[in-house]
Amino acid sequence: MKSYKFERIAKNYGRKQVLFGVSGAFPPGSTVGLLGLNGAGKTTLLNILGNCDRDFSGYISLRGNAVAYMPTRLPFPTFWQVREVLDFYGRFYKFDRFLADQLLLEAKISPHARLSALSDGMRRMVAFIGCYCTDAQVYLLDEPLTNLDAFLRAEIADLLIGRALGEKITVIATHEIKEFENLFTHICILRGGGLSPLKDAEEIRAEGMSIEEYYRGKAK
Amino acid sequence: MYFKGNETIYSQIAEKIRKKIFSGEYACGARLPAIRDLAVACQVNPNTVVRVYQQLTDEGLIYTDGTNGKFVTPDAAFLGQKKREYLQGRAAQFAIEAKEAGLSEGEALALAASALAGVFKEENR
Repeated sequence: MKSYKFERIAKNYGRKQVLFGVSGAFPPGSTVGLLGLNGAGKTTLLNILGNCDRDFSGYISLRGNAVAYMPTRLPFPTFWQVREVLDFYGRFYKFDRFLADQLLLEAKISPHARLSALSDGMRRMVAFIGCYCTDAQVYLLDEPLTNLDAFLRAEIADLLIGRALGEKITVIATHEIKEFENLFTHICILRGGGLSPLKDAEEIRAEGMSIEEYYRGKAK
Repeated sequence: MYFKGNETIYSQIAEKIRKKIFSGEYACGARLPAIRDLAVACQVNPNTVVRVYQQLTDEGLIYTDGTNGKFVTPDAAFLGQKKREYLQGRAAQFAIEAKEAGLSEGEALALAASALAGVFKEENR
């Protein structure tokens, strides 16, 4: 498998330019931490990479159902039941429904519950399960741990670890560096509308810096 | 497992496993945890564990038996020699620290002797 590449991604909201030609290449098998301050454009970039926003300029090497995306907000009507959400994924992707049902059970979320009846954290877990059980080459996760309790956080971490070997690429946009730092193989930082070059996480540590220190030095 | 944030994770895990091999917790010829299991237990990327096992293989401490998994080397003499080298290294570190702190050779030796006596006394009792 080749690297996942995107080049010169530019995006503006009206007059406000958010991304000024962002380029990146993520190697197969990598787990990339996409870091950046609030308003740096992480969600904007992931919306574009994850097919949710087509109003941009630039090039992306993998599109369509090669990419699974967990957005911060589920884009489905809140009167839908959880199983309808999974049906939806099943219609458009190669989707492991068996695994999805099993994960729902472990998270104690009923497939017949309406989205409106779920807590924020449970909705996040449904979004994660939808993304995780999709058979794609690239997984994009936007703040996957927000509002989740300690049990579900651990569950998500274990699931991501279980799949980190192999060719698939996972990109995690997050502020929770501590929770993920040992999972990242690479780090890149979005700042001022541009993306820093990809940096090997162990290389950062070998230079005597923690991921957090590296990020603090680069983010401002 | 807790890791220092500013040291490579793979070297920290490798050190931990080395100690377990030398202490006999992972005995001569014993099977080591599977890559995925160790990754979940340590909450690290399995690619890091792959690197740890690669490093220990290069050092000759472990070997891969096809798809059966990773095993501690069955060569007890070799392990014994590696253990001595390892402890020698730690002792050398103490020696350097003592010298940097301005101790004489005799004083450092006395310190080491009293520490050894303290640890081994418990066993002899």
